[in-house]
Amino acid sequence: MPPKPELVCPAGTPGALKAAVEAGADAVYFGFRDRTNARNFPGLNFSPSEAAEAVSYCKARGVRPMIAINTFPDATDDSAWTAAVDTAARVGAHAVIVADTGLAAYAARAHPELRLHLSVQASASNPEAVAYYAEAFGVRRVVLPRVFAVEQIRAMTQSLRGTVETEVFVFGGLCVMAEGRCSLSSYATGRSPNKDGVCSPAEAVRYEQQDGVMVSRLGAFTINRFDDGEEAGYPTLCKGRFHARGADRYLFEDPVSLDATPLLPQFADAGVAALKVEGRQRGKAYVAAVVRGLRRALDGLGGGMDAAFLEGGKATEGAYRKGWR
Amino acid sequence: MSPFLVLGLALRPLPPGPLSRAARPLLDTLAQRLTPRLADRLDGITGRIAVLPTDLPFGLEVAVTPEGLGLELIATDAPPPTEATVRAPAQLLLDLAMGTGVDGDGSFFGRALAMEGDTGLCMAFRTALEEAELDADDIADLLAPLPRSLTQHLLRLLGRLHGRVSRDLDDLQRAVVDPVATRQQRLERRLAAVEAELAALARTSRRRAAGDAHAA
Repeated sequence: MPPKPELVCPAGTPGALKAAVEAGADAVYFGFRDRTNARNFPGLNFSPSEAAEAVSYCKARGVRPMIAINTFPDATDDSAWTAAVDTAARVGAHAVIVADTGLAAYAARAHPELRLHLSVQASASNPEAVAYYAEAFGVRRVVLPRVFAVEQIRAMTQSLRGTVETEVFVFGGLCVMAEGRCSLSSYATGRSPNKDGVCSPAEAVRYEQQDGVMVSRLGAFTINRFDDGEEAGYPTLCKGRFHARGADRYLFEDPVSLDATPLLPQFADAGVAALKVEGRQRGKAYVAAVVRGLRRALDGLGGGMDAAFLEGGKATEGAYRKGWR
Repeated sequence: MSPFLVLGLALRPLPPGPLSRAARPLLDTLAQRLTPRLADRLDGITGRIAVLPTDLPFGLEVAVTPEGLGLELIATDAPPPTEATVRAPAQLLLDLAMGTGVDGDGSFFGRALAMEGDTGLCMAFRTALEEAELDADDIADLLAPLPRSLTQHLLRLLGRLHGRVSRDLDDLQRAVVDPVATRQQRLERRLAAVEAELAALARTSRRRAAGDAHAA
């Protein structure tokens, strides 16, 4: 019987990190307060001193702290990113989660003892690509893009067995784009998750209330209108509603959350090493409730997820079930 | 129905100007207390947020400045222009401020909380406030001239009173709504029966018409 996957949980702040640990996380991941990670939102993330405290806190409780440095450095100046790797090594992080090959090379060379995980932002979508990262930089785990069916994840995990572990998202915001390569945010706002760490940056988002109707705008674009009482979603262009072929419709994806809780036994059976929760931008209540729910599900204690924490009030198993889209 | 709704109705006749002036010393004290706990996460952020309970006549203007936080009582039906506005029932705002397990994003998705204006400012303030971990002691310390033990005792009493008033309002709501709901259910059952009868008559009529056509 394969070992139980570890539960990898998001932490946007020290408070959320403690909430995740108390709720039963096996590992947590967080980023620094700059462009080096893909949740570079106002007021969020850790200073170097907070990171050091967080690592100590986690290790004292048997939880593995990982630091996301998963955006792509500037071509002319990668100092912020290499400094982030240096800081992660200095504070004793269990692993760094990187996407850029140059940064992976730096980490492998400068800190060979530092465990390297490949971010979903690298969009490594086949065993050959993952094997390259393992061979070239010593990557130990890959976070798989959210576009595979369960059978494909099983096949990938088995083909990588003994060399690279697999980690899959099981809850939270669902990105179905080619991660690390999506240009929608930079098209609408001039800033991107890949270079600036922000998808649909907050300064470009505006909500207006018009007689109960909530209008959401991203940059110069009106991307959605929610009727009075209609559940809303995040203001990303991919979850916008547009008039096409004579009807108002979601063209890329609906504003729903991923909830693959029913599939946990299949992931475990497939040999997946870790289950990941998305949501570093979410508050402590979300982190505590989601981690607690998944902990119970993993430990075979049942339970489901409160719709109050779901984007749009709805959930999907995404591409894990072949019937999706 | 919530106690805050009833409280809001009771407070509505009060003049906003004198009330705002009377609240200023307390709010200045709170702002001074909160500034160092929020400053780190609000570094580089400036702007004003109008926090407007939908069931009270008064809310707060939160000013985030390089010098620190500023708080001022404002009228919910005539708020000053600000960079952002947040509207929600008072209980929800209190729960979010005190971190009692309610999720801010979830409340926004579910349309219990409405936000307009500078989203980045609201995000940063929400995160900073959550990290500051406000609790009943913070509110108790506002009333500094009084002994802390006394204000904590008063808050516990208020908490029990809130619970009792909430239950009383629930009972009142059920007493008013239940008879109407019962009558509605009765009418719906009668409507369903009439619709079933009509459908049966339509089927009979179609069979007869088909039979007549066959005979002809």
